[in-house]
Order: sequence, then structure tokens, then C-alpha cells
Amino acid sequence: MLLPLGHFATLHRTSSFSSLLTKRKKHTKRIVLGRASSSTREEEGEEEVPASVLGPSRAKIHSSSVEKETIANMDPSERLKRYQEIYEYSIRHAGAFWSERAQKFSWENPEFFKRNEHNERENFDARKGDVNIEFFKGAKTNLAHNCLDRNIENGLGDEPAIIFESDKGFEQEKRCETLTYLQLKEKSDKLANHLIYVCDVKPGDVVVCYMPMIPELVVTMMACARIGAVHNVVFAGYSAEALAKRIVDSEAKVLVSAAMSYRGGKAIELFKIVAEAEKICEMQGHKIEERVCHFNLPGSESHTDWPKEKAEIFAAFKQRHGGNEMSPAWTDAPHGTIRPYYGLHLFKSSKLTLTSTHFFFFL
Amino acid sequence: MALDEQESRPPPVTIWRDAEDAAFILYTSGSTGAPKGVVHVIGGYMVHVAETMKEAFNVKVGDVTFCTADIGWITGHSYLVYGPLLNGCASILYEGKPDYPNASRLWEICDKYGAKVLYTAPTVIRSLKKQGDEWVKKTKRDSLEILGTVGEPIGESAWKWFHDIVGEGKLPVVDTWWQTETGGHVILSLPNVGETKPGRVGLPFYGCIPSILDPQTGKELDGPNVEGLLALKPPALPGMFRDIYKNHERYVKSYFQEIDGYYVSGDGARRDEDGQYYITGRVDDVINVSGHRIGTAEVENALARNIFVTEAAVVGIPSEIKGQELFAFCSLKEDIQFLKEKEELKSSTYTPEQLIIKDLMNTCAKEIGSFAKPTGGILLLQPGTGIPKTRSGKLVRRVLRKIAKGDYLTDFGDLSAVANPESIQSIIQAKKKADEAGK
Repeated sequence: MLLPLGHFATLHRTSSFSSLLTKRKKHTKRIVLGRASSSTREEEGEEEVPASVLGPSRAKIHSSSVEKETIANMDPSERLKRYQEIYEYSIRHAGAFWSERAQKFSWENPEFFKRNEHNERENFDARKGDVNIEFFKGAKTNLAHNCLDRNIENGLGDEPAIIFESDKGFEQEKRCETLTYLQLKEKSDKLANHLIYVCDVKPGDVVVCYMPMIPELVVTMMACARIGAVHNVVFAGYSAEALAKRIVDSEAKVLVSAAMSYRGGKAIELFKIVAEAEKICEMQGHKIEERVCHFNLPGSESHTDWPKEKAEIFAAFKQRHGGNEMSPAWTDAPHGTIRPYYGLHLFKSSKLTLTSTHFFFFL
Repeated sequence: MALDEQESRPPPVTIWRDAEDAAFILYTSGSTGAPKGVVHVIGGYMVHVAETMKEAFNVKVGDVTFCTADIGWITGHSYLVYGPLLNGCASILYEGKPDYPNASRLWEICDKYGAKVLYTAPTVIRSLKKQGDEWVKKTKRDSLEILGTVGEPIGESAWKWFHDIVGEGKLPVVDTWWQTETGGHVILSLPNVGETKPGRVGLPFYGCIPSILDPQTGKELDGPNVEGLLALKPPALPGMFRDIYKNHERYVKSYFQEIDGYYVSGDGARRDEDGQYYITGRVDDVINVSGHRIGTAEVENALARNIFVTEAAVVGIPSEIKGQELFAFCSLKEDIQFLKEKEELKSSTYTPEQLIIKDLMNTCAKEIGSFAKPTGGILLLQPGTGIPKTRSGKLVRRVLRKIAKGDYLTDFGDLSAVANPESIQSIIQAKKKADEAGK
């Protein structure tokens, strides 16, 4: 029952999963990034520790002595005392405490943490000026790089990152799939390219994700993080109105969605909700310019890959309908008539693509 | 541009962004107005989430973690996606429901993949508990090392079941309190640090100072055995939200200006003699249904848009499984009698009241989502009854809450601020009548 491979092997079930587990041992050797010496903000003149802080311990800890181990790994009798010591240090020297912990991540300018300035700054009191919170301002980083590339560099490329277990129950074949760190990176890179070159997403742009619990949602989040886009994930249980409200409010021009959602043996036609939300947005004068959809349709082989056959479908549609526009009536498509097909497609949300979807459902 | 070209393109260049640039927006319900787009930034969020994941669940590279929250909520963002990936873990992503096809599903998934950490919600625990212990006991669960819970205060019986049956009394239960706004854990029971008790959330995470404030005076209450509003004071946690999308004024006003100098969470809490915290629930007009935050205003607005209704009030009532359920009071536009006279409805198997209630349920599902249906009940009020309000027009929710629960006899407290106290008795009458009809 192995599904489309290429180098996005769909790894199946426990057999391949446990092989991953055994493989892990070879890779767990961590390459420690060469950054770092600890940075202590030498702060004398101790502030009064608030009375609500518990514990008698007043021991001052220097960051160099702060445990690298999690507290759960310590001797049980020591844990509460160690917690209190670390806690007290952390609230007295919040900037230093968090900088220390930040340094194990990848930063474009790790030397930032040696300069030790502006690590942390906040004002909670509107009477004293604008309320704001700032950490590591001026340090540059990337979430996708830290989630994926950093782990891959450390030898985790072939280790599982996301283990997907499908709902099972609807007509759809049960899908169990493991995405390794490398596979997750490759998939998200492809989508990131699509977002950049086709959807014209720029750093800071908002991308709305309206998807059920499928690996493609993680892929989308990673793709956004990679290119500096801001993802706005909307829970797939929200209605078209609620989705539209969130699209309009966040001024998003790009929407990533899935065709269906499966839960508890029921299938929910997300594509209908998306189409309705799009109409509502347009009525409010907001146009979604680009749309990306994962076609997880019922009754078909599971297969996840970023677009490949899209061009073919598009061509087939054009050939059949001569590029004529049909009314975007796909909201009423009965899903019983769907041609067995399961794949991940990206399409532009021009009129034509709506019709291509229409075609798709009625074929 | 042909879509399959992405295949042949080199991987995109990683865009390095300032630690303070926005990473994502996530909408959450507030007590008033439209949902708020909570803005989180890249650097601080990353460090906060990775560190709390590591400390709370004691994870290391290669561990398998299972968080049952939907990615559409902050728990999914932080502890299903970013937390595990930042720590080099394998994160289980389960598409379906915890009790489908049967109540063993979650435990089976744990066994199948060797999950070390299970992070779930009290509402899930309560609903699985109700189905009986045998569903749990027929699974091994021997890979689990830590059980976590989040979303709402976990009651004693659910905690005990989770600890004794699921964890067989051997595994630490890590309760966590945090919010969409805080990005990651704030108060939690770090594994085996201090004594855990059912319902006790625990101690603050490193780098934050929870404060208990007097709800009347706004003064901070020091020392043990105090109860009040749960707030945070500086230093900030790095994962805390930086703004409300496009609405900085609302950010400042709704979180920091209620009591100057504090981030006021909207939850109530108690600090016990060990300096540990208990969460007592929302203190504002937000209702926690199965761990989902629902703003009453949002549901009220949805109901008021229904053609039968002029105004609506929504309150939370206790529910065994969901924690809380919504109960709605709806003032009708016209006397219900007019529907009874309609020919086409005379043959209907439903009464006009049932039809209107069904329609109102649909309205909520349509405007917000099925989880926002007032499953606790909808009380239809005849035109002219009115809903109790203060002179400034605020709904008197404490009274409505009591009526919704069927608690008619207790003292409703000081009603001097209520502009239309006579409405209270009419509503009670209507509620009694509805209760009787319900029987």
C-alpha cells in the first residue's frame, strides 16, 4: 500500500516508523553550534524581590551556573530548591536569563548576544508611556530555520518531525504518514517558492490558513515562517462569516485552505465554506487575490505533494471548455460525483480557477 | 508562471527577520466587540515556547510528543508545531476526534507511536472518563512519561482519573495555565517540583511574576491564601503578545489599563500557603466551552442579527463535560402567537418555539461556528419583557447566570443599579414555564 514516492516517500505505519526510531541512534549526536559564551548582564544594585515570590533562597546565580538540564532530570530532593534559585535569578535578570537560553538557537547575528544590550525591555504602565514589550530587538532570526534547518544540521534530517494519523472512518483510505525534518523542509520550501513567485507574498504579508489537522497545515506555517510572512491560522470549525471577518481584519490577500475536513467519521466540505467566505469578503470590498488549496477529497488515494498535476488539470479544463467562464457554482458540488483524485494543488483564485475547481468537482 | 516550476527552483532564501517582527496572528475572543488579532513576534516566542516545552515536558531530541489540541488554537501552535520542532521532537498530528471510533483512540495512538508526552484538555479527559475505565485499561500506555493538561481548570475528579487511571498513579500530571496572549506556559506544575495536588496549577515559570489583585481596589494582594484577579507584572515573558493587529489602542486599553502597571489576564486565581496557584475561572464576559474561549458579546451579536430577535444576552452555565455551556436569553421581535397562526406551520411536527430555537442555533453556527451554539438552552422572551440592564446599559449577568442555572430563590444582591428590575421576575416566570414545558 505504499503511495507515491519520489523523494517524498510516504512512510507507512509502524514498520517504517520503527525503522526510523532505530536509525535515530546514529544521528542523535548533536553538533553544538559554535556560538556563544554565556552573557551575563552584570547588574549590581539589586531590586527588591516582590513579596509574592516564594522561597527563602536569595542565592544569586550567575548565568554560567544556570543548569542546562531541565529540572525534571535533577535529583528529586533538589528540584524545588533549584527551581527557586533559577526562578529568582530569572526574574532579577530577565534579559540575561532569556538571552542565555536564546543562544542555542540560530541567529543571523549571534554577536548580538555578546553586546548584551536591549535584550529585554517592557512597560506595562500606560501612565509612564506607551505600553510595549521587547526582547532581543536587533537580533535576527527565522523560525523555520530554527525548527528545520538547525535540526537537520544537527543530524536529525531523517528523523520524524510530524507523525500524522488520519481520522479513519470516512470512505477515505486511512492515511498514516511520517514527515521527517528533511521532508518537511522540502515540502515547505516548495510552497514557500510558490508563495513568493506565484502569490507574490512579501515579508510581513499576512497569509490566512484555513485547514483541518493535516500535515499540510504545518507545511504552510513553516513556508510562511521561512519567507517572513505572517500566518493567521483560522480554526477549521469556524463558519464562513467568522472566517471572512478574520480575513478582512487581517488584510490577508492570500488564503491557504484544504478541500475537506474529516472528523469523527464525518466529512465537512471546507471548500464550500471557503467559497462563501470569499464572497462575503468581496461584498465587504476585500479581495483575496491568491488561493492555495489542498485537495484532500474523499474516496481517493492519499497523496500529498505540492502541485504537480495542476498544470495538467488546468490544461484539460481549457481544452474541454475552451477557457469559457462558468459561474462559480462549485459551492453546490455533490461530492459523490468526484473523480477519484487526491493531490495537493495550488491554483490562482482568478475566475478561471474557480471554474477549474468547478470542472474538477463535476468531472 | 507554471505551477510545477516550484519543483525545479532552488529552495527559497531564508529571510532573516528582526526578533521583534511579527511571526503570526491568532484571533481570540474578548469580552467585548469583535475578535482580536493577537500578534506574536518571532524571537521571544521562539525562545519562550521552546524552553517551556523542554522544562514542562522534559523532552529531548527524538522524543515523541502528542498534543491533542487543534493547530487552529494557540496550544496547537505552541506545543504541537513550534515547541516540538524547536526541540527536535516528533510531534503526533491527529486529525480526528478523541473518542472516534471509540474511547480508546488516544491511548492507542500513544501506544502505536510510543508517545512520551500526552498534552490534552480537561474537557477531553472528562468525556473519556465518562465512557469508562476499560477503554483506557486495555491499552499499554507504557511509553508515556508525562501527562499534561491545558485549557481550563481541571476539576479534582478529572485530575484523579487522569493521574490514577491513565497514568496508573506513576506519572506526573503537568497542569498549565497560559493564554493565547501569553504565547506559552506561564504557571505550571513542573514535573515533580513541589507537591502536586488536584486542581492546583502550580508555580510560575521562570522569568514571570504572577500577581493577585483585589478586584475592587486593584491593589496587589501579597502573601499566601489570597484570591482575586490574576495579573502579570514586569518582567515580561518573551512569548507575550506584542499587539492587537492594527489596534494598539485596544491592546493597551483592554489588557493594561484596567489596572495600571499590570497585564490583567481575565482569569481569577488563588495563591495557597505554598505559594502555588489555583485558577478559579474567567472573571469577565468570556465563557470557556470545552477549552474554547467564546466571547459572550460575539454570540449576542450573532443572535441579535436573527430576524426573530431584538436583543440577546448570553451567559455561561456549568456543564459536566464541557466545563461551561452557553445559555441565551433572546427577546423576540413579535409575539410568538403570529407564528402559530401561520398555515404552513400548523402541520409541522415542531412547535413555533422549537422552530425559532433551531433557527437561532443555526444562526450561531453560521455566524461563528457550531461550537458557539447555546447548547445550555435558549430562553425566548415575549416582546416587552426586556433583559435586566444597568442604567449605563450593561447586562446584569450575575442575575442572568443565576436564572439560567435555575437558581431563582437566592438573593440577587444589590439591584439598585438595575434600570429595569421588573424584568427579572418576568424572566424567572418565563424560565419556569420553559422548564415545565421541557419536562
